[in-house]
Amino acid sequence: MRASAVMLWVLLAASSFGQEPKKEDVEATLVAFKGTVDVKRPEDKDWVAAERNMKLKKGSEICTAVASTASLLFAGGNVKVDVKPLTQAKIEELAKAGQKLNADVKLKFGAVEVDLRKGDLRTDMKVTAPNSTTSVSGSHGIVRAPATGGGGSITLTTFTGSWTHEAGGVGRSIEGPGAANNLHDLPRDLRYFDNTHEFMDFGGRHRDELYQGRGPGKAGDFNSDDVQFGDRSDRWPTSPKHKRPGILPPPPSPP
Amino acid sequence: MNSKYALGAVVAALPLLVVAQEKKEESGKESRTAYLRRAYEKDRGTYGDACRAILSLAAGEHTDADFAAVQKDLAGRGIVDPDWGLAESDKLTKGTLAYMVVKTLGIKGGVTMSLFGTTRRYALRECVYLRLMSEGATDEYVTGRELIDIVTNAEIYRERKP
Repeated sequence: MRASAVMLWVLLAASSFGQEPKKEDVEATLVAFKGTVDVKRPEDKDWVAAERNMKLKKGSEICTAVASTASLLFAGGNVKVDVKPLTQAKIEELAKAGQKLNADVKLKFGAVEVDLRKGDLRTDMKVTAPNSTTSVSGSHGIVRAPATGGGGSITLTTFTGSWTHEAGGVGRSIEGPGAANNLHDLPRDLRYFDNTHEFMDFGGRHRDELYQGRGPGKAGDFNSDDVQFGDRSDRWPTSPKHKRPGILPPPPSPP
Repeated sequence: MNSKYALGAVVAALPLLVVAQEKKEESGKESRTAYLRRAYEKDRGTYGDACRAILSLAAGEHTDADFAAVQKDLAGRGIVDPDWGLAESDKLTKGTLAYMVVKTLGIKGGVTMSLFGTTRRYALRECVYLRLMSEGATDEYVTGRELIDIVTNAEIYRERKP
């Protein structure tokens, strides 16, 4: 009798151990916005103007115009997502399972600033663009997906925490504040080039001090093969020239 | 007597019908950010889209005004040249967009621009130098996605401008 009771207890414990906590959909709250912001919830036929304290569930989209921003709070304030101007993003996943929050924001174009705050919930946050995924944990930073990049070209500016960026089958991790300390706690800028499948890290106080590294080190670490930003201008999509345009001949006079 | 009540009911219901019609028209109206999402899908950006985006950048707010009013506002601010004679659906060129960006941001430029004034050619060179736009010819067409990125760059430039 006693043996069978122990067996029953062991079986019950084993079954409850293997069971995953029940997934429960949660909502994001649009706590503040500035300018022209439109949202499209799954139940909406068309885009509607945003309103304060609007609830956005999984599948909702948000679009900000020029000079417009929106702030979203996920799961009672554990995660703050600031949608920057000229952005279209979608809440692809937003669910709570036990003490874990799964959030996936799909960025079509534009930028979002993610701030994961300490709280009761462990957050698994992802920002996805058409060709890349950025995983965030315990961090604060900005993910930008330029419209022209088609999702392959991502700019990631991290302030704290741990980030993993994957694009084109290539992954790269950036470890938190340690790396930032090498650059006097300055934000870093990681760019992924779709055509070459290379990551380039940037750090510096202003444009002329930016260095780019393609070595195996952490983002922001200076490597021996790093070259100054201006010297590799041929590789930069916008080909920055570090000199002002020279004197051009005057425009032709009208006939 | 009954017909009198019926007539009264119809008259009373008229305002409700008008409100319902207005609501229908409102719901049929395009959302304010629709032009951006449409621009994203376009192979060629249009002058009309650029005017709308640039005016929002200059004024700091969106306007639902029609193209003629938007263009008049921009011309009043000195951001577009009324002599261009461009239509809303005309394809947008790099030179035209660069001129609008330079004027909106109040970029003074280098020696040439200071001496000879802002032209589309000089404006494009200035925008390339400031990394607001990629290199190209003034007559090169701008895609809808490029338009979005350039306006984004212009907004960031304005925020960071000392």
